[in-house]
Amino acid sequence: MGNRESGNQESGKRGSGKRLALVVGVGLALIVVLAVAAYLVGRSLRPYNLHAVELDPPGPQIEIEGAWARPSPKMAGTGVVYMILENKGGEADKLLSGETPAAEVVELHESFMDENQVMKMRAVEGGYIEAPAGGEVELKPGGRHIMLVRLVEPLEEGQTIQLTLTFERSGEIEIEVPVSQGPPGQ
Amino acid sequence: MSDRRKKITLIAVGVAALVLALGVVGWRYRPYRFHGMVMKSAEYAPNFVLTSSRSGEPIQLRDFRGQVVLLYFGYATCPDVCPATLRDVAEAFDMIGNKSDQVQLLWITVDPERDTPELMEDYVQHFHPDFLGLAPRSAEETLEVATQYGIYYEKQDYGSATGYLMDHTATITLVDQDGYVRVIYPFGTTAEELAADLNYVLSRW
Repeated sequence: MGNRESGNQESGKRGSGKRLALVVGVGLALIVVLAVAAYLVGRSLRPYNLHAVELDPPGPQIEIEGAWARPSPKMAGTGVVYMILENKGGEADKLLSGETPAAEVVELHESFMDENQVMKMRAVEGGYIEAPAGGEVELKPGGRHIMLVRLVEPLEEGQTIQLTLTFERSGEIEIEVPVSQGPPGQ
Repeated sequence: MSDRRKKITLIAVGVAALVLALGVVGWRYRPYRFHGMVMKSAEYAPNFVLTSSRSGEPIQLRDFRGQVVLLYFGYATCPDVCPATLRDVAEAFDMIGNKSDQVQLLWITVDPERDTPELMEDYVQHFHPDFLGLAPRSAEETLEVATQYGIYYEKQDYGSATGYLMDHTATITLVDQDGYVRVIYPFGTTAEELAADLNYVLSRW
């Protein structure tokens, strides 16, 4: 009785040992096959490497979109210009100043509201408006804007004014600004 | 058992229908939501007497009882925020059409030093022929009226070619036909929002 039992146990042990070996073997084989397959698929899908160094567009690349000037009352003598400064280049640039035959002085201003709804307007911090690399900055009502001081003549809807913007790196950019009640296309 | 289940189902359906019906009715009669800060004061809006930029005659807030009054404090040299706001109000006037006859925009200067009645008249007319400028006779009068309406202002002289600029509270105050302050609008309230509120206030009285 005892012998038979022990014999059975031994043969059982031997049998499970074989099965384990089989499972481990098949498992290993599967892992190898999968690894090879994954390598092959990955290889076929890998991005092609250009045999050259890729370059960001050198320096800043400023484009001005959607510029508009608000019509001004006859006597008040101040005007405002809004626009989107887009920088498609790989480096930042700064709008430093502006000049227009339509006004004696051009100032870069920023309106901002404190927590008590008090609206304040100041010259922009540092005296410039930064156009970040690959980004854009919007000059809009209640925010940063270009202020025209002592207009030569009131700005009338339908008219166009010339504005030369000076950037730190891109130099002078001349634009035509339509006088309208809102951004172009609205 | 099946009878009981039927009963339960019937009750459930009934309750759901009731809840739905109440929801629909509640939504239909929901209170109107203004697009600004709603004020509930038992006091009339503080009265004031200022000089009309159009006629040069004294004008008081009480003269506009029966009309909706929009009060805005600003100054003529302001190129950005004030024109943006006044333009929005003018657009709202256009949107509500003839009903704008029952609305009066009063523009009060916080810069009496520079804003003469002529300059103010030219300024408001630029935005809408029905807007009215109100000039105080003295700096004290400006301060008194502004303070009554919680309007803060301060001269800022930091070297702009304009001479100086004014910090000022950029809200619009709506005074209803009965003379109560009803809504305060922050800067950036759109013409559509103002028009909707004006339509509502005008339809109620």
